[in-house]
Amino acid sequence: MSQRFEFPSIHNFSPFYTQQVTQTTLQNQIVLWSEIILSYFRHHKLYRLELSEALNGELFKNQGIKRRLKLETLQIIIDHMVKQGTAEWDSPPSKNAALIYWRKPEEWASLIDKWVFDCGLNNSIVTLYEILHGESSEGMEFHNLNQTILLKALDILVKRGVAQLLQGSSADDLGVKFFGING
Amino acid sequence: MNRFTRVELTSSLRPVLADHETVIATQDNVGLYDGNDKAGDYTNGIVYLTSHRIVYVDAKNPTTNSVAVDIRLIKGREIYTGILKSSLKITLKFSESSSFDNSPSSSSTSLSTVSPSSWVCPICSFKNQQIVKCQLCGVKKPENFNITSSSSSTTILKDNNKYNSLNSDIIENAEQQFSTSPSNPTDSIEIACPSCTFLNHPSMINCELCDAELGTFNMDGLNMGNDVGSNMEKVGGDDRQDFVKLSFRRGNSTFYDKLKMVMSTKEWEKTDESQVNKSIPEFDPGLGGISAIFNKAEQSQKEQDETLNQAFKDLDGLMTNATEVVKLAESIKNKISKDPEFLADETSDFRTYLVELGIQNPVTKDSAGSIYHKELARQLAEFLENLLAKENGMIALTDIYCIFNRARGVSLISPDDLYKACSLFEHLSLPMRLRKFASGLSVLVGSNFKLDEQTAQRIIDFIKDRESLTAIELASLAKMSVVLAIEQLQMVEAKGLICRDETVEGIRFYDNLIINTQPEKLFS
Repeated sequence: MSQRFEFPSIHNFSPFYTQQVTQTTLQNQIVLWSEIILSYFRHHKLYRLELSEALNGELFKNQGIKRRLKLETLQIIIDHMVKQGTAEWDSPPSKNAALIYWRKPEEWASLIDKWVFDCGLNNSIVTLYEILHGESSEGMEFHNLNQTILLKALDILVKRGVAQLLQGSSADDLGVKFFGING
Repeated sequence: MNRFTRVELTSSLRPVLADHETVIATQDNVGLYDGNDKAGDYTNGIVYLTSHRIVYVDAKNPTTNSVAVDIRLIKGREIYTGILKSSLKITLKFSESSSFDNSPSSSSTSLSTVSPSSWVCPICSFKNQQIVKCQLCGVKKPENFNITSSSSSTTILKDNNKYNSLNSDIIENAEQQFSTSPSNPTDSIEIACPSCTFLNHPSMINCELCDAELGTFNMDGLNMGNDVGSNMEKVGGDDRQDFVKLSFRRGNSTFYDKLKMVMSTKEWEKTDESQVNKSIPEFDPGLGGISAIFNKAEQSQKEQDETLNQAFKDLDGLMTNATEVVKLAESIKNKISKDPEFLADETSDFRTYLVELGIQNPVTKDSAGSIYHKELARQLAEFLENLLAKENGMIALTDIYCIFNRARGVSLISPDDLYKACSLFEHLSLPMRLRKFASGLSVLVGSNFKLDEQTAQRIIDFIKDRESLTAIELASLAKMSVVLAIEQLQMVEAKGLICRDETVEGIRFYDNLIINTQPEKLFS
């Protein structure tokens, strides 16, 4: 892990962990929480949020003031983020895990497209493993990206007509072929 | 009418009562008649019957058109139960107090038994109570009955003698009156009719044959007026009729019954006596100096003990002694407030208890009748005026129920009555309002308090001082009930000024940093 995430001061404010009853206050509380979640995930390059597990982590549990966010409150926050397009429930309708989009799939797609072009991988087949963990993608933001998010990003590229998914022998063996600009 | 005096009203438009004075009955929708005519400015109002006075409080202009008359000035009364459209009327007769000072026993008895304004119909000889026309045959009362003497007592006397009324009582009384007068009118000769010369009985006014006026009446009446008037000279210049009628557009004769009771108990005499008794000090030559003072103190302590013991023996005892207990409480209160040493915390608590025990004249269903809730609301408003200021303009209804009933001591009110009275505040334009919170808690709010802003500011100040606040802390800081504190905190929270921290220990309220933090500046 890289350096510690600096929580904002509101993180030490005890009422911040209680779901507020006043609507205006609650709205602002939700926005503040989603900002913190996005920043935290971006900082630690996290993509997937296991709700009940995360509630015991430093993000939602403040040992200093002995406060912890409630599951229902977190679900409300994620619901809000889903509406904003910054998150997605992993397997709806259950609300146990969510993908956090500190970059939206479209942004990931553009990043990958640019990387393919930069590396001259047009018209060649790349495995998903190479994109996520390969040497050539090292240093890129999508290095170690969550596979589900990657597939969503690739889906977008397929729809744009610049890539094609190639089924391998197993589910893990997915490959992708990027077409050249003149394709 | 000229016996009526202007009355002082409390802020809630009820009459200010003197010491020892109690309200016996109340009736609204009452008009005053001065003599037989409506009294212009006093046509619709509330009439209070107290142990000492009859007070009229005008409905339209209570501050200017409210008058009262001492019951001790009332020498005669009469009731007319209304028929059809005409309403129930009570006639109050006044007579010159000076004349009765001269011959107190005979005249006062005669006037209270005889209805002074009754008259005998010239046609059917029926003794009438009604003013304008004969009750039996419907013939108009002859004009010359309203002879110029203002004293109603002379009128009766004339009537009685003229018509040989069948009422033996009246004759008896009349004779009593005339035992002193030199000429007895029944002895006079028959009167010849000026038109047909028929010799009429001396007690006729109109000729029996031709119905022409005999013309003797006025003369005779005046003569008699002079005869009797020897001890009524003071009547002189006032040519108005000396009675006032109360016209009850609503209600029944209970008011009259109560009036009867008040006039027979003569509460005002009692208090005079008791004051006289108290003012005469007992003189014992064997005692003096310090020992006398000690004795006196001991004695008064014994008396107070006695009062308390008797009062709490049984409920009836409590009822009868309630006024004394309240008086005792007041005297202690006065003593404490005079003594600077008593300003310590305990005694100030004690004093507030005493203040709370102090409604001398509780409005009861019995005394107020149909306007019970309105009267209760007025009394409540008077009672709460000081209390509201002390409680920062807001008291829970449940608290009021306790405090108010404690203050009444006896004849407690039901929660329902309290609620009804409170909901009338707006209608009676009294300076407080009933307010219901979302939780169902009802509170009484002084309408001159800018409540929301004041409460909010107070709570925010508290929070700034101590960072966070619970309802219980607020309740003890602001000296209010916890339910009310919760309501106030929630009210301020709903405005987004504070936010909550909910834990197993309860809810703490904090300054609303959540809403004050901009998402864009979160990490800066």
